Amino acid sequence: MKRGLVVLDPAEIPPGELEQRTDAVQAELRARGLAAALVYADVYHSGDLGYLSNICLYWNEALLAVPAEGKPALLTKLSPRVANWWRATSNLEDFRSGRVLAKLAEAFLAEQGPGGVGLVEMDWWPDTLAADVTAAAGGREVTDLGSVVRRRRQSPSPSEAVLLRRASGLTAQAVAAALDSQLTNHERAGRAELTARLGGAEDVNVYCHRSGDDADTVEVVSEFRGYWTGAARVLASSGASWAGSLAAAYQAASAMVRVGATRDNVAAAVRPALASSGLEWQADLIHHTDLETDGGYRTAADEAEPLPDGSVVTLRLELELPGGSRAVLADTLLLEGATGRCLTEGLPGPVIITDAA
Amino acid sequence: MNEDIGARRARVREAAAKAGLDGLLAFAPGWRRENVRYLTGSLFRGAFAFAWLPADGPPVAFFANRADEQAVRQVGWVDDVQVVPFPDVAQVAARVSQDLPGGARIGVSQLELMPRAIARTLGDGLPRAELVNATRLMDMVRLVKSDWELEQVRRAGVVCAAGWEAFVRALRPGVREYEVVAEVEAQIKSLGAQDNFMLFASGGDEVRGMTPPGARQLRVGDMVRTELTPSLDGYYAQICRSAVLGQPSDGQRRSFDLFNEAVEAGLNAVRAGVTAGDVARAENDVFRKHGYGEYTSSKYTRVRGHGHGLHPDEVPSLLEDDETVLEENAVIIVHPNTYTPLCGYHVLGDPVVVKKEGYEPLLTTERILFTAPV
Repeated sequence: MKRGLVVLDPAEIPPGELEQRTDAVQAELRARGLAAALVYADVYHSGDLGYLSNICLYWNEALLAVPAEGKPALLTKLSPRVANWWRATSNLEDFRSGRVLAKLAEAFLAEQGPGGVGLVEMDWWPDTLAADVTAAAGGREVTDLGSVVRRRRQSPSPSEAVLLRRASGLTAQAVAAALDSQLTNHERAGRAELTARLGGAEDVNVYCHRSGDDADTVEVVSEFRGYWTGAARVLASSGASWAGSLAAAYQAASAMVRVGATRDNVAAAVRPALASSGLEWQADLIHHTDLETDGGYRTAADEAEPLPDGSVVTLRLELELPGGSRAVLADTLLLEGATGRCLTEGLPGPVIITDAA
Repeated sequence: MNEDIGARRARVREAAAKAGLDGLLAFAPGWRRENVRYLTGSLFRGAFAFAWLPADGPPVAFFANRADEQAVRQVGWVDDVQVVPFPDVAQVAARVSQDLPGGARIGVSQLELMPRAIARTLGDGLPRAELVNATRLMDMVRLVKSDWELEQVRRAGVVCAAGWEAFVRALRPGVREYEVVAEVEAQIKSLGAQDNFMLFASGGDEVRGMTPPGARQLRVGDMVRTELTPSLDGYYAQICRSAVLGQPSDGQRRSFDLFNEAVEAGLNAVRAGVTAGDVARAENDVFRKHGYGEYTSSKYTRVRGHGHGLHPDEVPSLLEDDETVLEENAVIIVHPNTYTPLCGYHVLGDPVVVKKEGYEPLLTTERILFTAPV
């Protein structure tokens, strides 16, 4: 859950950039003849909200109400006592609290001019909330705006690219801090957390676990200033017979990560290296905009899309071991033409043999 | 733990039957996993999950990825575990239909959070079923903890207490709020906690509530507040404490005395058979007695405590109008956290197990106004 550093630093996000992001949504609304857009967020899934406003939704649910003209408002179930903190850490000024989001939306929409209402990522909205907002929309037509915000997020601005590099660097540092073969997995988790949070991570998910009888995985997925990145390494003894194959498969996968790559391309590269192991595996490319949910809200169509230039993605290779445990390798890469540049750089491995002579 | 499997299913089935339901389908979005955990005994990581418990017959669970499927199989509470893609959960509907071929009333917990895309495919696959929101039903099922569950909460309480010690150790002038949280997180994760819900506030009487930490540097005289809620193997335990850098001011001492008296009054009201409202009223009466009754309203505070277990903020909410009856072996935290002009927002509270004639404390951490040397 979100309990790390939340800041809005004009040295990191240039003044006006957040507003430009909202302006782009508003231009879309005007082009479509819509009066307003509503962006749903909950504590697990709030990337679009953060992108447009820098709001950290640390609990519960909210709607960002974006009018076609004028300033957006946050409609939230959280107490109005939080508003001062949000004013200090976001570009919003209008905060409206209440127990029923649909009622707050109703009041907001009543203030707007004519036109329909667009729900961003309507398929991800709670079904009952989408129905309640539709009923409360005062007869306005309700339209699914789809990924109108997420698509823009997938092409980072120069300032975002800097933050993504910093986020990746921090994730790598957190993994590196935990790569000590003398520690228990709980101790590794503590080290990774300390490093990530002292570095300013807003949210951190650390997974340190056994990988078979002869290895351990250290995986960190962290959020820094709203940007999610991941990395993972395996600490293995020479008894881990699968370690060499896993490393070779991962190198092959990494080489495939470039502009235009798909998850299937990466899988095709992995397959030969792991064919003789007899073990099941999954290879994934998770765009940074989908990493907050581990990629769990992507459709098959999303997963099949070729990656555009400038994407920042996490490559993740997971090997299923006998007994049900797993070994995971991962890095975050920037796609630049024919190559994927590793942003979680400086890590050893990908598989570190702990008893090498 | 194995005894729990049968007992939990029995509790769910009994509650479902009373509600006229033919089965219970637990849905878990990424931030509300408690009911699927309750039925599968497992932690999992994916964006969504289901667990289906028919009135008769074995349960089935569905997860978004193979890792979660394998984790649940390892625990062994559920034999039939399947992977389903987002958002096409036709497989879930088909499996439920096998148990309920005709029209049926199906309770769905967290139905109010089910994404539209998932809800559509579920509904399309169960055209003759009535889907009934069963979130409150499951909240009440989970209210009473088994002996095994109480042991897990006690274990989480040990980690919680260690987290508080790390918090106090980290306090010094110049340290930034997020650095204190980092030390706490490192400590509780090194002790095996998998997650934590934690809010923070530092400063003087201008503080009105708690939030995630910022970059503010602590100063001598600050009161530093936290509610810290680690989870260990799925079970949460919470502590609320406030500490002062240096010597407390008169206002801070008086505030502590007020809050401590309110906590004591609330705890003294706790026993099986009373309502959540009774406990809240006991706390608030202390504030009213001392002339601070205004600060027990929703303008200044959310709740005067709440339950916890597989979720950090379970039923009941300790509010004067909450008539939930506290049952033996429910777990609640009594915390009259609120703002007063004495020193700003103050937090103080302890989790306890409700017993027939009183309560069992879950923490050994002293209830004092902690101070950090400067």
